[in-house]
Amino acid sequence: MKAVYVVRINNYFPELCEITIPLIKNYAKKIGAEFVEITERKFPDFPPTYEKLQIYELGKNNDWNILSDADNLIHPNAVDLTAYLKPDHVGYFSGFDANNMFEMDKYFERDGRNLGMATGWVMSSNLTHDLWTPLEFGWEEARKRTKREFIIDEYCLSRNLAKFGLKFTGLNFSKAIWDQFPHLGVEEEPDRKAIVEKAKNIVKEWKI
Amino acid sequence: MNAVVTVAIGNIYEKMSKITHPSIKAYAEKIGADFVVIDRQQISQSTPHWEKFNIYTLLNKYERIIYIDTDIIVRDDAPNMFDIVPFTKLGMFDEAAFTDGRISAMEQACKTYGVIAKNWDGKYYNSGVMVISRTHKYLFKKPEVEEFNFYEQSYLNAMIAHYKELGELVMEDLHYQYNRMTCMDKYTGEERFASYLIHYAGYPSLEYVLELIPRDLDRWKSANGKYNYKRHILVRVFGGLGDQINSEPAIRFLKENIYPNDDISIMTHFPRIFSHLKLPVFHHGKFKPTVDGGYYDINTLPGPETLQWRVVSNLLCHTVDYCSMAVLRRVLPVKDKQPKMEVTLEDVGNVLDVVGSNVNINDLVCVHPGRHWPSKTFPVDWWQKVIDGLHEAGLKVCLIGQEEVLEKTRGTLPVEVREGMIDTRDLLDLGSLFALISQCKMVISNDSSPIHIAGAFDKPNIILIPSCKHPEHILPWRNGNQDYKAKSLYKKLTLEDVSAQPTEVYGSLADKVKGDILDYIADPEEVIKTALEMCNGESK
Repeated sequence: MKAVYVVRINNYFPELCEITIPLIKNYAKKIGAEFVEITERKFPDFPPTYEKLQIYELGKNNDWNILSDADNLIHPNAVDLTAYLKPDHVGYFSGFDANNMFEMDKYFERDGRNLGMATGWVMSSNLTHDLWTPLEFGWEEARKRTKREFIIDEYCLSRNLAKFGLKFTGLNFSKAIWDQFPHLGVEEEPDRKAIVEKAKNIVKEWKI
Repeated sequence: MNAVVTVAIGNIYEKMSKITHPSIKAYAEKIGADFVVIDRQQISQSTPHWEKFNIYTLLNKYERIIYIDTDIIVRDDAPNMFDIVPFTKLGMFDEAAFTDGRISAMEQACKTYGVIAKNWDGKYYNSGVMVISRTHKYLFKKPEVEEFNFYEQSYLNAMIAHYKELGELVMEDLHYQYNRMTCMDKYTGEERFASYLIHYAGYPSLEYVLELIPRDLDRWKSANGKYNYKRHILVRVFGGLGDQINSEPAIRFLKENIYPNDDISIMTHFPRIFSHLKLPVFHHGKFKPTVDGGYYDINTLPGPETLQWRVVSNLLCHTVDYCSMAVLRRVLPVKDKQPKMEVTLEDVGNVLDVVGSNVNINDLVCVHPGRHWPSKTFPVDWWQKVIDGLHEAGLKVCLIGQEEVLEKTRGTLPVEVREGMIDTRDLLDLGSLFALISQCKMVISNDSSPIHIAGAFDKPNIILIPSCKHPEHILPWRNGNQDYKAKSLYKKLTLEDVSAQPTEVYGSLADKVKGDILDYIADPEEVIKTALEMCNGESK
């Protein structure tokens, strides 16, 4: 069983989601996955991005779990990534040096790969489900460990990658694959109208 | 009373005896036999090998004798050969099938010693290890003439053949593990250490052997009684891309079912085919042996000079079967005949970079207008009609194929690409071609590799235009049969014009066409109609 999750707390950006969610749903259907919108808070002390960690409970019986940000567009012909990702690997589109954004702890040090994971698109299998393990400490402690509060989800997943020694792969093997999963990057673009316009233009170019 | 007897005469054998005799002596003690070393030239006039005939006298004292050459070492768990060979039989290892020149050696020995062995069974025994009983005493009366013919060995074999023919001698063929020579390396792929007695006959020089034996004894010692050694197998994969793909099921079966714990290496022109097997794969010419000893060497596509080809040629059976006979000496169960291949996301990305990220690979009808032998090469106009017709019928045509770089005997025909068609010819590497075919709607081709690639995947429909091979000898097995999502279209086969009778003594070639190829292959309209039916059937 497969599932595609999108976190939408507090009716996140409806004008954009009107464009993105149908495409994400369509992708889920195409690859035989259940589409799950996470709308309720289970970790109210943490920033909303941390609700991505609900996947630990929601997806524990699944073969594949895919997390997509709500500001992702997915081309209708996009590749079924679960057909190619090795189940013993975590897959994500982009990353960064962990020590630039996070405080290093014993897990990061021991692992030594210095992996920071962007969580706009993350895939795991039943072999790598440890990836979604919530932090063993609360927000008071967690907030001290990241440069920015809203990347606490990226901190947690990156730390789990190190803690459990999980293998990983990038997914952007070609420009064409990248083009099939454009991430609109709402957090980097304060102009919401511009974001919606960008999304519309991409979809228009796709001629769908 | 029994004895283990050996001969060690001369400086070099004296040196060797210091290394080898402790293990032979220990064996003698283990089986409760005396250890007798013949260390002086007593009865021979030429080489010390004829001193083995002292056994004639020794059999007055000993009821049974195991003779062991001094260039042999014995493992500490070697069973008692007196228990293996019945008293009435002479135990020796038949080396005829594993060595050269034994027939002429026998002929010469029979001539020299006046032996007539009309019904010789072709067996030729190595005299390095012999399990002898008193009843065989007559064999060890030394002849006057000491002809050098594998030392005394051919004389003994002539006598054995003679007495067998008279019905006075019955042999017990010893397993090679009791007289393991280097000639067995390539037949077994087994390390010599896996045998109970290692016999250093056949090495380049005695000096080399003197250095080698101590190392080998150390190997046994370091095993601490756990004598588990991997077999070493080298699979040489030959033929065109399609042939090499068709060898994959046999090699996979070899790895998974026959030798799951052994060392298998593959040599091929297309390493990518075998990447999923997690075995060492080398380009031809790049393989370097890593073990001291031989590999069991397999050629997946034996040529016309071989016995297998004379039994059935690759043209007259399925290549999956032909390769499995060569690799495994068996035909695979149907469920195991489907090739498997690995496709990675990188391969898919490469395809999308070529065809465009907007294209749905699942919609593509891949056409391979293949060029090879005249009997497999159809007119350009014929292919043009096919692709134009498919295009006009609304199917998304994608041309595939690759010009062979080295020999240029294979490639694709210069059909014109219309607007809206996709042309990937010469743009995809092998992995990307696998990725494209694995996801496409249909593959249309002559007898060529894309058909075999499609056979590895469930998704693509297949239309085969056969000519010089029967379609049942080309179409892949998927889900247990060859009709699964597959059709072959033809009027008649050029194969029918080839002289393939069992009485054809000069062989025959299938690469030419007698007359017009259009009289053999299906009309383009039929190909288009069938493609539409299959694609529409799928969409329903």
